[in-house]
Amino acid sequence: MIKYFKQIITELWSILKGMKITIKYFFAKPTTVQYPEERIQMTERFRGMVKADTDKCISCLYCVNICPVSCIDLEGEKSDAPAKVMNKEGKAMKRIKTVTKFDVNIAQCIQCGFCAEGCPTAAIYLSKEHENSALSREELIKHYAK
Amino acid sequence: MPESETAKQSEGFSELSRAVSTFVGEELVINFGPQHPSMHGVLRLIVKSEGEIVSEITPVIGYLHRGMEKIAERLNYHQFMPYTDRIDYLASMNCNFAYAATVEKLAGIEIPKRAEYIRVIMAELNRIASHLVFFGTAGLESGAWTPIVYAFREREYIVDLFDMTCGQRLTYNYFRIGGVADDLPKGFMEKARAFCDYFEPKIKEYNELLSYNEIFIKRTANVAVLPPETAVKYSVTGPNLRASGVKWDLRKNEPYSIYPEIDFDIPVSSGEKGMVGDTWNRYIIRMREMEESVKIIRQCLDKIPEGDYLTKVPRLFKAPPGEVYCRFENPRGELGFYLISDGGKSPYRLKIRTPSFAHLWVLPEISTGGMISDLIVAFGSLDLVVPEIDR
Repeated sequence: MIKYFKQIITELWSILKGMKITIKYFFAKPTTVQYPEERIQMTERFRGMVKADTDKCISCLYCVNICPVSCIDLEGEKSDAPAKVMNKEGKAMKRIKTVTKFDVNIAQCIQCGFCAEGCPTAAIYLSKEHENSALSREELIKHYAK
Repeated sequence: MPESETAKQSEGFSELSRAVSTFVGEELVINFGPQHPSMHGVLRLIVKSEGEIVSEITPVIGYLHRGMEKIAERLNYHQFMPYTDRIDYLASMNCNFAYAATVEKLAGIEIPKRAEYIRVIMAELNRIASHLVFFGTAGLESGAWTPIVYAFREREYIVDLFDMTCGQRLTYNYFRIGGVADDLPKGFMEKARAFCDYFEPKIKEYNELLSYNEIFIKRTANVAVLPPETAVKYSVTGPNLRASGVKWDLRKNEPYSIYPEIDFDIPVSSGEKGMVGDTWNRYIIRMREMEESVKIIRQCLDKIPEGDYLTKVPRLFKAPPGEVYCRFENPRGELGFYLISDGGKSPYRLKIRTPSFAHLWVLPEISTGGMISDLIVAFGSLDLVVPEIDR
């Protein structure tokens, strides 16, 4: 009998001990952010939606080949007047091809960042955009070619 | 708890089960999952029960099968890295680590010392994050709603650290064959140290809140006992094995990376409350492991050398023909990659040995003869992650 009551007391005591912690946090400042009214700023290296600047693209097809899920569709055409583009190191490169088609299927994209990592001219990059829901599958295919 | 009392309890338990089986004639088949609030993912269990007592459990797997091993044969060595993120989404860094190191071993690539340190820091941070999720769900499964909120609050700090280093919060894809993708960002060291200082007292708080709560102990001690012989027979590894009293940790027994240079202990269960290998011991071993991980991170932050973080490996490199098997200590157990190369630019065969797959099959062994509500607690204590079972 004594053991029974002793057990109840120890159990109550351990509940109180836990309550002490929860009450402490009950009066503390909340750690959450009220999205979408408040927004957290994305970090510098944040990998969001893939975007492309087709003026810089030299159609080398590096991104198409490295993409593990093959979500990039790129086509280039030989241009009559080769333009100059800067590469990542700041050296000038000759752009022989112009982009005619640059589609990224962001429904398939896993935002691994391999394409941006190896792009010689930084034409393809991962933006800070992360709210990319759409009503249809067609909307999820982004056309970047002009 | 003294041994005599434990024996008495288990005796009483079997008596209860006998008593129930005498007046319950028909077996009831219950379908758990594939979508069930207490299933960690999509796993299905067909449970046969006599009243409240479980008499048979048949796990049904395959709902999350993605054919990763076959995909690996189609991609080149670099391209498979994001897929390893998805083997165990709660410990992506550890899976990245294991895959990268396996390919490096096969191809004989030396990686810079700084990269090794960064890798270990990330792996240990991810181990803490993974164990925090376990801590939260262990509470949920036994009816405590508060721990998960606290666990996720602390996990957020770690995820923030990962976010600033690699730009993602879940599937990191940070490791590369030959090192890591990028150097540690500015302010990482200070933030990581601040996290260590912040986190250590929190573990004591958790212990007060849940681990040593009398009701939680009553709920978990002596429930679903996994004896060491059974654990070894079923090739159970990681914290689940150590909870059964077997001192086996690859970081000590088969040291890899920079672990030999670091001083840390391997917590092994001694049956402080209840029997060795029961649910409570499986729980507490992870709490102790978090303390050890903090210790490892602290040492790595102090010792980390300056230098390069990546050895350049060509994009389409060809690994020499041969085969290699590497196993690594993940938060859940041993993760092994068996890689066969025929000299091509993609693996000839890649077999992934995951801990959760081995751990699932001890569930029928430890839970039959127990109550249905104990099945959920036992299931949670094994810390299974379903994408890891199916790959």
